[in-house]
Amino acid sequence: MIADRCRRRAAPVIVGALLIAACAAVPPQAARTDSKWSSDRPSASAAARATDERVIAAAAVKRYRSVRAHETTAPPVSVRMPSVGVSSELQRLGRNADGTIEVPDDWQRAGWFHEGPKPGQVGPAVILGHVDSTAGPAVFHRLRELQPGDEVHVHRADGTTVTFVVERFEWHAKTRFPTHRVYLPTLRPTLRLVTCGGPFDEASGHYRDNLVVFATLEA
Amino acid sequence: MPHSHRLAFAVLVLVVVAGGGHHAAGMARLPTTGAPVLASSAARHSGQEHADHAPAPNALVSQLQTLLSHQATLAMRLTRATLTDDPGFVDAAGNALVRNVDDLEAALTRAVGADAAQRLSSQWERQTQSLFQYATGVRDDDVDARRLATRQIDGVVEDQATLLARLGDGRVDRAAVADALRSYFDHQIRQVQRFGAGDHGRAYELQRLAFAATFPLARTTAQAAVRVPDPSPTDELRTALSMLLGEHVELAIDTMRAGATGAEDFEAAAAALDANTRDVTEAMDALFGAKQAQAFNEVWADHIDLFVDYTVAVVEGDAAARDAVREKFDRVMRRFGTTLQRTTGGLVDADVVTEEMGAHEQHLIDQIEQYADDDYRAAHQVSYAAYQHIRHVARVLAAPFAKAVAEDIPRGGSQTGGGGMARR
Repeated sequence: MIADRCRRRAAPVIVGALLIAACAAVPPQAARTDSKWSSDRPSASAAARATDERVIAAAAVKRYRSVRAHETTAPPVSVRMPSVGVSSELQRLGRNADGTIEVPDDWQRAGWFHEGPKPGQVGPAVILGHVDSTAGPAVFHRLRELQPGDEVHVHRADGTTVTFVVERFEWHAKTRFPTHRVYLPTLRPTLRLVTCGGPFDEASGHYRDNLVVFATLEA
Repeated sequence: MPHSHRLAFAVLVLVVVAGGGHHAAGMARLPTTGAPVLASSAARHSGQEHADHAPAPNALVSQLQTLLSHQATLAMRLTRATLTDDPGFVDAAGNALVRNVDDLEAALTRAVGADAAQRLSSQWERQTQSLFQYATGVRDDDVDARRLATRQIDGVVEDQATLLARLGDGRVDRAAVADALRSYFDHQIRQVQRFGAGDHGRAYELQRLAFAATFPLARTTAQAAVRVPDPSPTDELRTALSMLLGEHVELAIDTMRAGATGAEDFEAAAAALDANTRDVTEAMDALFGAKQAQAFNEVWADHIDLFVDYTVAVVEGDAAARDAVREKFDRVMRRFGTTLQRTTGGLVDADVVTEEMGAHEQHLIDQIEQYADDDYRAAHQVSYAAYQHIRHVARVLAAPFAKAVAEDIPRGGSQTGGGGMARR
């Protein structure tokens, strides 16, 4: 056991030793002779050039100040899902007094939860849309037809577009909605698309379930 | 590593170094003192141990992320010191890498047993050697050396992908892990090429890519060892913070060292540090909004400026300037505490943050003092501690951050239907 381990450890050292010959062949002028900001060069012209370089380098160090400008991500203005024929401007959504999320006030327009990340920022951006109105289909009626790999394009106020790729979708009863998995931070920029589904409860006037589509930023 | 093994290895190194010259010293062993306590010696070399005391999956993921990401940075420092022909630094970076691989082996021994852990350890040693060899090939314009190194790296990729897939027993896809490894080595090799060509800006961009690539690789390696559950939102946040803060430490160290020597890559290192700062600020924006992010950025940028100011004071041997910077640090670290306490609605304890950031300051100050004294080994040891410490800070912050965000998320599902289609 000890012998095996020593052999294993010895291998890289021996490889390193084989490399020494190559290292030793480095031309003397390639070797680093300076240290810190001091000068130690053989010829007058080289010394002058090296000193100049070090003065420039030292000046760059003293001049350096950390970046302070925060480049904010522009808010989203519209969403498009070509594979299911969705194209909609976005309404800004917040929370109701009871803590639930606001929903778009137009059946045919989707909305973005503006208290969370913007699409393209690290974290989960959330876009909601109605599945139907009181009379017929609404903006996210065909959301359930999305397939893994389908693209979702979000256009932002600064004219840029960020594209997400559908990863999976999940159905959840609203009473067991996975709040944390939908809204809490993610490592990468992600997108969640939410609408209603399942049986409709005439008494409450609401669907029982939510459909959640999980999408990640296009590579 | 048992003392007898380490001693035998040290003797081998001495023989090789004595016969070959200074460059082999990069692979010499560290003294046993100061090694991190990740597992007892007995535990590390007992196949039975891993069955009895297998690490918690998420703890293993975190540990491997720390070690593999630091390994990526150490490999870059080793190759760059090789390119600039700085044998003292090559020696210290090589020792730090040996210690890193030992720590990886210790972490994995408990999960997969001694034999498999040693095979992985051997592969990490081979890849480090190959990157070193590639750098010498670039430095010496030796095409054959570069080809040999590339073939060796290809071999490591195949061997490691096969081993991880076998250990994973269906949890790890061999082709996917091979692709991930190839991508990582591609970043590493290209950063050597660009640094060697004097394109430092691109070299640092590739450094950032290689660093980031180690995090999913660490998760895959952990999945090969144990069944790892899907990360919770808090796990995800902890990983994100660990990556951002860990990269900050590595790039701050690179920037300070380049500044201390007036190296040509200073501006590229500083630009990479700025890019990390933008990412950190962007993450704060995503979590807490633009206004809080801007407030955080002010204090974050201040502390980076002080690291550079301190570097200048060290290089110029100005004791009064050093003291002045330290006093400014005290104020900035207190601002860190109050800013984060305010940002999280009191969930983060200001005193805890001030204390932890003070330790961060001390680590980076110590390493630049040692670096300026040409005590590269000590500088590497402190750098290692600095990196491990900042990931502890990420763990400290992740839970209150997640809780603060959770307090502002909507309750329940959405009422996004009028029922019109259901009534048809």
